[in-house]
Amino acid sequence: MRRIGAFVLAGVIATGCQSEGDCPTDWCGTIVVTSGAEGQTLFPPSIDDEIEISLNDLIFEKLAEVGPSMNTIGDDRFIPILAESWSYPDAQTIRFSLSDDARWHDGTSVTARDVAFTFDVYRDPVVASGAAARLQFVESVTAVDHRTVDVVFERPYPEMFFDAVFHVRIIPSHILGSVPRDQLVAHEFGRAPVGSGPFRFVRWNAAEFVELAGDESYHRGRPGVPRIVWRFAAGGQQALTQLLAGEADVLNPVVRAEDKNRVDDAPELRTIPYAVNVYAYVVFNLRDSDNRDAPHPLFADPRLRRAVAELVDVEAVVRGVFGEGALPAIGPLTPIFGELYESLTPTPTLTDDALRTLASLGWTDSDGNGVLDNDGQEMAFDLLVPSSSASRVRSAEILQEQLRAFEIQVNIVEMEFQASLDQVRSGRFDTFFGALQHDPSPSSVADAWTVDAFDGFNYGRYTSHTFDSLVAVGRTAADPAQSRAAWREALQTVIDDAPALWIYVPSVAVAVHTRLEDVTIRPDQWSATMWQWRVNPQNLLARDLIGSN
Amino acid sequence: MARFVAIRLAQAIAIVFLVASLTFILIHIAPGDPTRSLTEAPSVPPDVRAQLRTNFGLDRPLLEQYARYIGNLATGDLGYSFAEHRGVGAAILERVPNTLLLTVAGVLIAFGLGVPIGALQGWRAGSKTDHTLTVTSLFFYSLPVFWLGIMLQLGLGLGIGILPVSGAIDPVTHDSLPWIGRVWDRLAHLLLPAITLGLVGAAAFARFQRSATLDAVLQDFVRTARGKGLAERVILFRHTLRAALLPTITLFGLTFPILLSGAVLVETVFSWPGMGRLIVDSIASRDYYVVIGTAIVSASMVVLGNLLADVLYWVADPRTRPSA
Repeated sequence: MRRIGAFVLAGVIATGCQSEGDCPTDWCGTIVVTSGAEGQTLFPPSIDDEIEISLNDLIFEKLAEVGPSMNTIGDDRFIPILAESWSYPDAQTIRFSLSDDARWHDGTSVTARDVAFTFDVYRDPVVASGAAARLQFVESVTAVDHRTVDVVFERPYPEMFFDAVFHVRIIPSHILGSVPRDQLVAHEFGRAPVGSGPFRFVRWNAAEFVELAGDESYHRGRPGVPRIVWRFAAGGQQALTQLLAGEADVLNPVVRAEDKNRVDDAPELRTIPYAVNVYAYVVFNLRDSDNRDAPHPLFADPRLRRAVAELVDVEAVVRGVFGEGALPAIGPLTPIFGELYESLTPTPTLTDDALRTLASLGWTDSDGNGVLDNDGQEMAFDLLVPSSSASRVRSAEILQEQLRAFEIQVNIVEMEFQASLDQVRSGRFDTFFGALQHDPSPSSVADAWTVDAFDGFNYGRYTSHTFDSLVAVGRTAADPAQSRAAWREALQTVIDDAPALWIYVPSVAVAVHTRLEDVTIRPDQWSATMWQWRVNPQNLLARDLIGSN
Repeated sequence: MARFVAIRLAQAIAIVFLVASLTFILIHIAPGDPTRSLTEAPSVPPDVRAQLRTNFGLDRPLLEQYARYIGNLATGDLGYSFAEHRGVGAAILERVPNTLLLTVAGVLIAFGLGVPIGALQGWRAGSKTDHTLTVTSLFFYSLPVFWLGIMLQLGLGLGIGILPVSGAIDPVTHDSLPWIGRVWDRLAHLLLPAITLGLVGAAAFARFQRSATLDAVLQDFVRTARGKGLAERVILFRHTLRAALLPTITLFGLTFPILLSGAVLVETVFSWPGMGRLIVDSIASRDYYVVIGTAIVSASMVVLGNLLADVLYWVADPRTRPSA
């Protein structure tokens, strides 16, 4: 015991006898965020995961941002960021006026030329930005003067403002303008970026952390803390251990109920629950798994799909796996759509009706083997599940049991994630337990279910001309009310057609240290307001008193 | 001896080449490719993926990709990391020192604990000490390394709270510490993962060393030493242990790859920023050239470990030198 004491004492001496204390200035605090994975690049056009997006939002700026209402139609309730205002010289042009005080972190002014350059890079096929598709209707982006830029669209449409601002983070032309386009993605900028956002990039230690320093001169006001350290743990549980050990202040997401309980049991931590923009679903393959030109022997028939959907007690599946930790999904969208989500009618559980439908379609257990059959075809199919997702595997097992009670045989096939995606994309599956993420725009929901998405995320090749037509109206209607109505009808159509069983929307939580203040969570991007979070000056830890590099 | 070392090095290069080729083939025939998003977000449309495949040269015939890779490898270019958007060499170089630090620390603990314990057991074979240590070493030998790591992490890190639970340094305070503090910070972060790795290795060393010591104590020279009236301590340390160390030195070389693979698990448990995590992440994301690059580095380390074991063997027993 004496040796342990000496060991600890040696450590305290070596680390400079740090202790908690008062902030010597009026701006103190280090927020340590931990996550169970690591981002790969901070080059804005190449980012595609949640950690990269969060870090990008701290380092870079968009022209404007969706507000808490999550409206994406028109420009109602959007928040100015780099653009302090905007106007419409004509129906298909948005004129952005940039903030006079916006500066790159190397001191150079942010100009309209940077904005035009950024759009050009995002839209360049060689750069292969995932956001390029969202900018397909942009005709040109022109610097009118030093601080004014026109974004011209091929034609006006309801979400053109959203498309112009949501996916694009402005990058510096004076640093990247001379870099050949085919070398931009691999350029060192991706791991040592210069932005104009509230935090300046300091360093990136691979597999360890990214350090950011608050920019006191940021044109929208000083960030809440002078320093953010974003740690990369080797997995979700390791990140949770870091948090519980006091080595981090923030963890997102906390998914499992037992993990939430562990966080809530720690007196210095709290959880803030929120519904994420991800839904899990079991997609039916509407085409034959051996011949994509032929219809699937079971699931090509919408009446059969609908009947199977009505047999499933989704609520029981969700409660069995998550308890209160998830919501039953009602369709290919999540509650972040607010009114639109509320206006939709989910598929009810109607066991007797469903069984009657199946019987009317000729499905009976004629040979008494406990499985429905019809003209020699048994009601038996494979359910492909990525083995990496324990929640999906467990949900699949409950589904299997539920359908077994109705003499429908489900064979669960667990497969490594990448291998399962390969199988699904090649069409060699009956059903697949997937999960999809969408942004605040209904367009991103539609992307997975239109005919145009056959080579994308419409794995089951769901085909509905009604749905596709409504999506087209939603995307192009000049009148916002007409657009909203079309989206509502389109989504109800896809729900009623049951190209999939809609299973759950995870309800996750952000775990934060209680000394952090002004913490608000935006459902589509939990860290959107992190730049304003601050540390209670009365409750500082030793690490809050250390300045950034 | 120099000629022998040169031959061994040539063999090592051939082995590494074979490992690189085999890994290239295996990772390319595995399902998926580096352009596939792990997030299942519909943010990367198929045409963008196709463009990425063109940019990365993944649309070329496999044989052409292989020829180009081997050609680049001959010039020391390990290729491009699709995930990290930089050279594989840079990505690996950043991690190798951490893995070496952990593995060497693990080997030292394993050797430092295992050899004396095994020698003591062999010296006092059949005693209560021998039985106790046999049970103890078997206990640790049978433990999964990741489980032991988690238990130590929960006990000493989360429970008692005297050691950090993850990482190689404290990212917040490290740079602001005096040099002695930075050394302490590194040591404190190294202890739990190194002990985890070392305890399991020590159990193996102890089992092996016990058996080697048992063989040695029955040798004529030990009987002669006793007959000459030498002290038991002198007989053990100067005569028996030196002879009994020879097989353990061989094990030292063979243990290196085992510890290296153990490091993959330990690095994951302790979020240690080493090559193990890079291997795991690169396989999951099908980051082809990182997978091959890490296989090359691992194979090189294993081959060099074995060569080192041979050299140590020659030092310990000059009769085994090739020139002899």
